[in-house]
Amino acid sequence: MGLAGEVSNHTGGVSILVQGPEAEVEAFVRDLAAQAPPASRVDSVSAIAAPVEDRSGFAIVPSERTAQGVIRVSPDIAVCADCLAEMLDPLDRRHGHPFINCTNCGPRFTIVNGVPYDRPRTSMSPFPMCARCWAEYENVADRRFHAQPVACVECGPRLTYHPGPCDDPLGAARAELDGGRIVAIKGIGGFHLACDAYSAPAVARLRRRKGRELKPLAVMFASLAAARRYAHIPEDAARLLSGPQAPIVLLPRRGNGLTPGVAPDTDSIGVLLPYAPVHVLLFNGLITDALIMTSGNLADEPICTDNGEAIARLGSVADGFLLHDREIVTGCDDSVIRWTPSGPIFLRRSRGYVPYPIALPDSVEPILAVGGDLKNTFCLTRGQDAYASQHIGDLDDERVLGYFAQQVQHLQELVETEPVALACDLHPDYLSTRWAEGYATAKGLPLIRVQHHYAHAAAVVAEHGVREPVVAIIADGTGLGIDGAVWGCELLLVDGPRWRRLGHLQTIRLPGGDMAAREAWRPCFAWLNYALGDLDEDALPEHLRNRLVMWPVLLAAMTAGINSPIASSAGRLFDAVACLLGVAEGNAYEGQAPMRLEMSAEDSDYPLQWSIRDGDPLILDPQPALVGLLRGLEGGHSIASLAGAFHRSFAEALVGAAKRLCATHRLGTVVISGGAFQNARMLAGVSEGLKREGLTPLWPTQSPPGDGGLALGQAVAASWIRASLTG
Amino acid sequence: MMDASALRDAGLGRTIAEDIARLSRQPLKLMEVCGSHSHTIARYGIRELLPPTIELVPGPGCPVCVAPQEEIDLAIDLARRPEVVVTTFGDLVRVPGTNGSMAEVRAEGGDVRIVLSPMDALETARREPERMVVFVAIGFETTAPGVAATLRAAADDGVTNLALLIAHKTMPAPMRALVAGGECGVQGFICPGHVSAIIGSEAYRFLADDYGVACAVAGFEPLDVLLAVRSLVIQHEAGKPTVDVEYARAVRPEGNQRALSVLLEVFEPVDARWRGLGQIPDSGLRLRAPYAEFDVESRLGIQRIPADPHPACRCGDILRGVLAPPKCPAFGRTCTPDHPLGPCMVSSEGACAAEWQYRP
Amino acid sequence: MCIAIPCRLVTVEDLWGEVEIGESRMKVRLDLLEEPVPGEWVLVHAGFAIERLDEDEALETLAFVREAARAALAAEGTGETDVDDGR
Repeated sequence: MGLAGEVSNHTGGVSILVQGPEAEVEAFVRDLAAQAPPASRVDSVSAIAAPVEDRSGFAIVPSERTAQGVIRVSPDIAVCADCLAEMLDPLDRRHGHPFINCTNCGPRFTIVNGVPYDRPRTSMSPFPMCARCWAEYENVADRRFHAQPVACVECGPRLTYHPGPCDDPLGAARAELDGGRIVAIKGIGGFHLACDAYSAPAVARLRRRKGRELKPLAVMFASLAAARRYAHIPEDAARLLSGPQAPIVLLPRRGNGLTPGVAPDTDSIGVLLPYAPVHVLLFNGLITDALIMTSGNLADEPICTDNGEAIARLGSVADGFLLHDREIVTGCDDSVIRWTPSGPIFLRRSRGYVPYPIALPDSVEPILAVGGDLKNTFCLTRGQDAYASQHIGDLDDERVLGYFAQQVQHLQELVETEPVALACDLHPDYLSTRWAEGYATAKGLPLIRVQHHYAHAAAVVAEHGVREPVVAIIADGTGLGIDGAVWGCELLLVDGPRWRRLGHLQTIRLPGGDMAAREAWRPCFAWLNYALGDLDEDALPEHLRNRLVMWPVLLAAMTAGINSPIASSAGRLFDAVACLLGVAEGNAYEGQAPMRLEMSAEDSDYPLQWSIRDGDPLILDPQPALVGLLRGLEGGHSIASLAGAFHRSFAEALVGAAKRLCATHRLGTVVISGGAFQNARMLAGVSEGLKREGLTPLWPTQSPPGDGGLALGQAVAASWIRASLTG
Repeated sequence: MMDASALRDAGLGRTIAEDIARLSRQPLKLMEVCGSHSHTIARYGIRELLPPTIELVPGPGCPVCVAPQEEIDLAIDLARRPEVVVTTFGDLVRVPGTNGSMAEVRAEGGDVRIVLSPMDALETARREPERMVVFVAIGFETTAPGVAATLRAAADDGVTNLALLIAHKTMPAPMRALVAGGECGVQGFICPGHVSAIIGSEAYRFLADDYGVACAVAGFEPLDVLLAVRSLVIQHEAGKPTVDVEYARAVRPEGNQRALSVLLEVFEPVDARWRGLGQIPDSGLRLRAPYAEFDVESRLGIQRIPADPHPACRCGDILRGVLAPPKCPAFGRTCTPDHPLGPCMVSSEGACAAEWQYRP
Repeated sequence: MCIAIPCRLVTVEDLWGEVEIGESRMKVRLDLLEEPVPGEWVLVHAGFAIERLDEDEALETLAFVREAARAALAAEGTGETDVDDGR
């Protein structure tokens, strides 16, 4: 372009000094955003005039740490088409290089030790570039110009296979996979456990050994064309699957060509496309074109990232290990997105998205929110950026808690931010709460406790930049209410730091404590008892009658208030209906019964009504609907129709209640969130219903509606609360 | 006289196979287009005997497998009609259609009867004059003349309650389509044995003359097949493609003129749709005007509704010779004879069924 | 369904005949054969005799197999690779 100057990478971003003829300089500034490389994101360009100097040529000035600015460590980016072409070209010098990357693709977050982003501060530092790689790295015109993880087959990391010795690691892995055995594969964010998705025995063995008896398993297909045989994939979803984030996308299943053991409780299939070069090489020459790719861990432990650790921990599951020697600094699970008629919904925001921040409408203080105990993520805010962490997992054991603490530290280093306050859930027994209490005490920081459902609502308000009060419909399994009861289906008025409970699901006593979630007949009996006033054999459908013998014990416990908290839980109501209709017996894993209920539902006109009792709070009472379901069963209506009718009636009740509250409080916007809205039928039913009433529904599209999105909401709410206290 | 044991002799077979290895220098892609050849090849492990220069793939040689989804669906729909008796050859019964299979319809109470000959269908029609007896007329030129003869007999005897679902296809046309299409790259055909007994070996002359593709008509013993492969290698190495008849005991250059004339008295060629290969001109049969009343589709006014096979099923790729059965990801895993995704695994002439039956 | 079995034709009565398969006998239609003769060998498919089998050709095929094998063993010894198919 005939311009001279210099560019340097620093913690505030990229600083470019450019000089030359005016028109060219202006064109350069324009093109900076317009012609940015595909994987980059230019958030803003600010140009100021500088004195002309005597210079020629364009120089790269080494990075320096400068004062506080905006930090961007990029998320990991799926391998790009250009790199794939080179890797598959027998004449290219990177032919067959399983770690190929360039400025536009490759690992970032998972290999970074600290900022600014430079090779010495990544796990590529033990691999000094060979002369040819250096030449590309230094060449401004090359696609590998300053691509930090660049290497080649000569100087780069290597694949190995265990058990060894083995001189063809990929060939060994392929032979095991085609032979119906299980291989642990080290990828970008950690290890995967893989097996042939067509082989029923392989899948059954994987489930048994991993301890994942029934949860859906993600499937990586060799190509989009192969995936299309097994899933209905609309164009937008195809772009998401093939894009830089390469998440797992849950799509409607098509036909039954894969072994049914892949996802027994749902008619969706979790589709993944090869996103690391090693995946592409693996499929090249593999007979099967569909591999189960589940995270390399036992049950819900954190994902394995280290070779030795994997062999030790996964040795009882995997028959072989495809390893490499590029360290994974930070483990990061695949992201999971559910494709619904209402648009894509995050079930898990992780690889490909983290650590890119979620934009907040206003600048806030640095706050660390610790999230909840299930599907934990934490969140650190800084300015207008909310850095939500990758998926941590269920905080129910020491190992995960240790991982949590370590990641909190790591993110603070990457973002160069220490919080001035902490936020956590109201629940005193959450491990996250206890950790936050300890940390706050140790650091002398204030701790703000945020009610669970209010936090969910706050996340949506922040995401959409809403500045007026809203009605929020938050439905999930359980969250502690400010009255000490179990809340789970709440209508709130949210106005920044001020919020109020306007309505909720009829409360009942849920017998059995934790068992109420695992064994659906408990909430089922409790709800039927409420609906009918009494439980007797004739009222119950046949498949429940043999349980009736347990009822007196339950009733006694409920009456005495023993282990039977008062609850307004949507999740347990779904469980109860799933049990009543015979589609589930309980939750072998979180959400199983409602998932099965959703899977069995079809659109239905079968008449079911709820009753809405005005008052403060307003109560949504499913009693008439439950009676209607019993009648439907007696009358021989199909389960599919009854399940669909239940969803419809629940959605109608929520919409009706929201409409009344909006009218009373003269509001027009309704926020929808909570784990129950991972159910596409509910989300569509409520959002469409609200629109028909002239209201504006908003739901989370940047973070999960379930507890994976709790931390973001806690941070936002805490920032509002602190601002209101000081200001 | 008909002592074919020499044609199954293992020692002779190995010798011929070694000879093939010695003769074959350039890479050569061959295709068999007959289900019974696929069986012989799988049963006697002939692919494993051939040198690495030779790739032998199965083609569209099974008349049940090449029936497009809509023909299968039509047969299943007919079976659901209470007034219809469906008579069919056995291996159609478990082929999965869009909504179940004939076997499932039979289990639900549909009247589906397996016959060994079209004459059995005629006999059924005679015995049960109050029912409409539909015969699923499927098969290549080996079977169609018998079906034609049956219709002549039915017409002569004034039988009115017999109708045919015509699913017949004819052989040389798909071979031309595969070669002209260029996708599968076949350079030599092991031509079907019994189809050739009817149509004659000269029916394949155009493949050698116009397309330079070597042809050898083979019998069904393992040595028949090996001799045919040897002939194809010799033709290819010499650059002189022709039509060699290894099965001369049953196949004449002009075929069986009498059978052909019976066939053409009743049927005429028509364009037809093949599973996996699409529409091929002059590759099917339809009833000539004097016999039109025997066609069930016009008789009952039913339409074929084009339908797609199971999305995971690769039978189409297998029939086009671009995917070998053991390389199909579903082979033996989610597709087995007990729960097939498509016809190739469940028809007695299917390439996948043959590989499965004789897997080591 | 390409499956056609070689059988010996035992009786002929207009358009119907009987063939012998091992110990048993089966009725077949003869519409597709010119002047079928009892005693000759025929291919039977789907209840029809579809073609007669030529004994001379059968014997010739058997002879050819043996000749080809002999020539193959000889050529292996001499390293010859050009073979005229000799028929």
